[in-house]
Amino acid sequence: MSLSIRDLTVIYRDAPVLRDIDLDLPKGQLCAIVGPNGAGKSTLIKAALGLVEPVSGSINWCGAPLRTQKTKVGYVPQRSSVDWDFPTDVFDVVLMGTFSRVGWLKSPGKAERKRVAECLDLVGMAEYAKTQISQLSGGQQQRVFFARALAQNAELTFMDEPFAGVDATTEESLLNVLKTMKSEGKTIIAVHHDLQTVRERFDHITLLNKRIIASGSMDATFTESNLKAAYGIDFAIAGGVD
Amino acid sequence: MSWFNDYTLRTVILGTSLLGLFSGALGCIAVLRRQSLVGDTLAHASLPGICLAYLLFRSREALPLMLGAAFAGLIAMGIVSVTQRATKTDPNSALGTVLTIFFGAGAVILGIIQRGHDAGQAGLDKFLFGQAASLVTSQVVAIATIGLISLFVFAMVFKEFKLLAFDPIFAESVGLPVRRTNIILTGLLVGAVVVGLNTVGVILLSAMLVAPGVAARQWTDQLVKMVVLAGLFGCLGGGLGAYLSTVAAEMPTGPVVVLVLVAWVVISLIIGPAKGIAFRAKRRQEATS
Amino acid sequence: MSPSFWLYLIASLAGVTCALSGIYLVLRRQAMLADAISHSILPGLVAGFWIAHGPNLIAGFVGAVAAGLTTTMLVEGLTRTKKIANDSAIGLVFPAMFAIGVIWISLQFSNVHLDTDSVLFGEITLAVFDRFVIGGRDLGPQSVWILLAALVLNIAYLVLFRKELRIATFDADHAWLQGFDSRVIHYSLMVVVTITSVAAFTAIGAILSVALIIVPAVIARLLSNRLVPIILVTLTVGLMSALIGTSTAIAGDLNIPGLVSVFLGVIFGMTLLFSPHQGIIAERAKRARQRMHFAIQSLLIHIHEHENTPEEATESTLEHLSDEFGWSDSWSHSVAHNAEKRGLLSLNQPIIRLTEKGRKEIQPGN
Repeated sequence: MSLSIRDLTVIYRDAPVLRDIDLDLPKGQLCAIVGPNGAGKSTLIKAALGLVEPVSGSINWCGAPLRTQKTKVGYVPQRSSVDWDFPTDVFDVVLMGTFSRVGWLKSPGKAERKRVAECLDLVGMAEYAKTQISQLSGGQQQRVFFARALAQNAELTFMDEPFAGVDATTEESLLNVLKTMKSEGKTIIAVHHDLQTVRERFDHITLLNKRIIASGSMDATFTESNLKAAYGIDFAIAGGVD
Repeated sequence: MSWFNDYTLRTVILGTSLLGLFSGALGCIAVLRRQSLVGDTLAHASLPGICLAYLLFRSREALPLMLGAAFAGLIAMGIVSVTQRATKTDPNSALGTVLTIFFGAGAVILGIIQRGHDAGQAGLDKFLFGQAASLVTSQVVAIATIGLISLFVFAMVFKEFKLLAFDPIFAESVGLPVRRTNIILTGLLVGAVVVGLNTVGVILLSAMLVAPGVAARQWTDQLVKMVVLAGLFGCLGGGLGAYLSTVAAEMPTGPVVVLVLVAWVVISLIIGPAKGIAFRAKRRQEATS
Repeated sequence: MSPSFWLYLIASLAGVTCALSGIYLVLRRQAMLADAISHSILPGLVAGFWIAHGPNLIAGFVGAVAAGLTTTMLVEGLTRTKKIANDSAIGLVFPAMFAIGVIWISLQFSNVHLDTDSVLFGEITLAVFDRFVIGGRDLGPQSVWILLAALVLNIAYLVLFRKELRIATFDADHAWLQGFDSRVIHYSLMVVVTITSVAAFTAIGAILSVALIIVPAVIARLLSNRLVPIILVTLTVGLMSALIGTSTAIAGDLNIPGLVSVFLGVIFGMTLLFSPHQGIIAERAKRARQRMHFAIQSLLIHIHEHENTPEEATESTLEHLSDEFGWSDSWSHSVAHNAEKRGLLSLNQPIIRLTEKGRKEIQPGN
């Protein structure tokens, strides 16, 4: 267990969004966080990243506080959270993924540029390198975010609804990117909203509804009773549950 | 209560209180629609209108100058809205652009007027920096008239305003004439601005519009109560500021009124029950325990 | 060198320097902070003069920069409470700062010439006569040297922090995770903007310095969505409006800062109308094209549906279109003729017929 969250509580507008979260997630796996609307899924990863200030709690990665190892962490936010009108091109956005290695006041060099070209190739966006970001479709924007996360080469990457609103082809190629990342030993923690697909795409699942309902390997945890506990209604799981 | 017998003082305090009442209540429009800087833009943009009205009527009477200010303000907001609708320009950029251009144009016309060494021009400065201390009865009457008309119109469109401020897309979907309502609400802000100009001046005006509404918001979660409280805070703040500036200390009225109102905002932020810091901390404690 | 040479030099330097400092301010959608800062400089100036017992340039400068930063921090702090929206916070803080300045002046300096009038409008013509003298040598007006220093600062900032400015503006969260605290960028940008405003306003006044900070960048943003062209256009607009405004004002004996703003307004208006990407005219034309395209599509589908049916004789005529679509006669004609010109249908007979190309046009997947 390598990501370890202890006693995490987040309050927003006087109401607790997350309460007493204790969660351990394994290294080198594709981990999904699912739960109904308002369950605090995005808040959980934002709190883990340090983007949201928790009232209490600690987040450790490999035994040390995560906030002291920010450069090991990547993030694929929801697409709406950035300024797509910003005057720059695809290559430059992906290049931003390398900035933490470059540091303050220095410019990215040849090695970084080469890495960016490779990442763009991996997500199938090589021919769009010089395209203005304001001209991208939703799926292309998401590919750019994946390329940026790849360029960062982070050990641990958080993703907020990575497949929301993208077309089928994009979804396919993004899944391949995830598999590549996993084969390189990277850990992915993604908020996922689609119960139909979560089973085949992820290795590990956490059911969340303001508290942790259940967390564990997909087979052991993706059960009707757990889903009912999280969503409060009955679910017929397609394909049945063993 | 000897000061209340002083005619000038009474006029100043009455005028400033009324101004506070109107701009406080109408300012809620700006506060809730995230348009607090619209007031500032309108105030600056009124300069060319005031100067042109002066050139046209050769009069320092409050009413024609206010009309000129209102006219320029409406045109300015028209350009802001066209810019935002036609292009991707963000609100801050659109407001800043129009504000500075209009004010610059005003400065050019003001320069022409001043070059003429016209004896009447002295009054124009009042519109820039405000001269609450020299308010006369006719101005108080003008403030009251425009203010009451604006408040009446505000009451008429209150339902639409509520819908529009809360959820503009929903408002449009249920068939609210969004564009017309927007124009009316902007018109009301223009009314509040021209009323305030010759009392507190261009620069301090945005605080007169914003401060009472922001303070009121900390005391209530209900829209009607917020508007009433904002009017009350504006009125009391205006009166107290005018009194302090003339009786307690020899200081310019507008700035003192603004500081009184801003001080009240700070107090409300700390102790106001609706969103106040003290109450929140308590509730937060309850939520975690 | 003649006074008018210095006048032009001061105006151009102010134009270029202010315009540069506005680029990221506009990209970060914080244009009104420039307005707020330029107004809240006043109490800082007064504080500086008060400490130095007189209108001391350096003391005033330090005070003004401190006041600008205070404003930024207060706005930030109030917004962070989440109880006041950002725009309200700006609308409260700068009048409060200005009010403090005005009251302080009325209490302390009623005899000193520091009127709010010249703070707003500036005295560019007087700036020429405030000389910078070292060891008896006249090195030109002080304003020139101050603005030059501000220009160097702006260029250095944009070059040194080009990477950080980009990442923090595009995605602040990602920047923070990468180890670039966007607040550092925010505050450093505010320091640069404040220093620029202070440097410019003694010469050209608060309002024109704000105009030159905001408007050129806004214009450039309307014309391009690439960073380097944006920078070049911003510089050109700043310089041009400063020069043209100044020369026209001198010729017509008009207020110089005011006229520079007016010229900025003229360029802005022209861009708003004629910009090829976002201009109103381009937008209108695009919408008209889309409307025509949609009308032609509807027409083709209608003709296609009634092809070789008994109703064709009545349905597929030019006259019927007004009934079918509720179009005016002239619009029906222009749609049909436009479609004919594109080779999509033929109007030679009373019954409108599709051409091969027209048939292809409405095939699914096209």
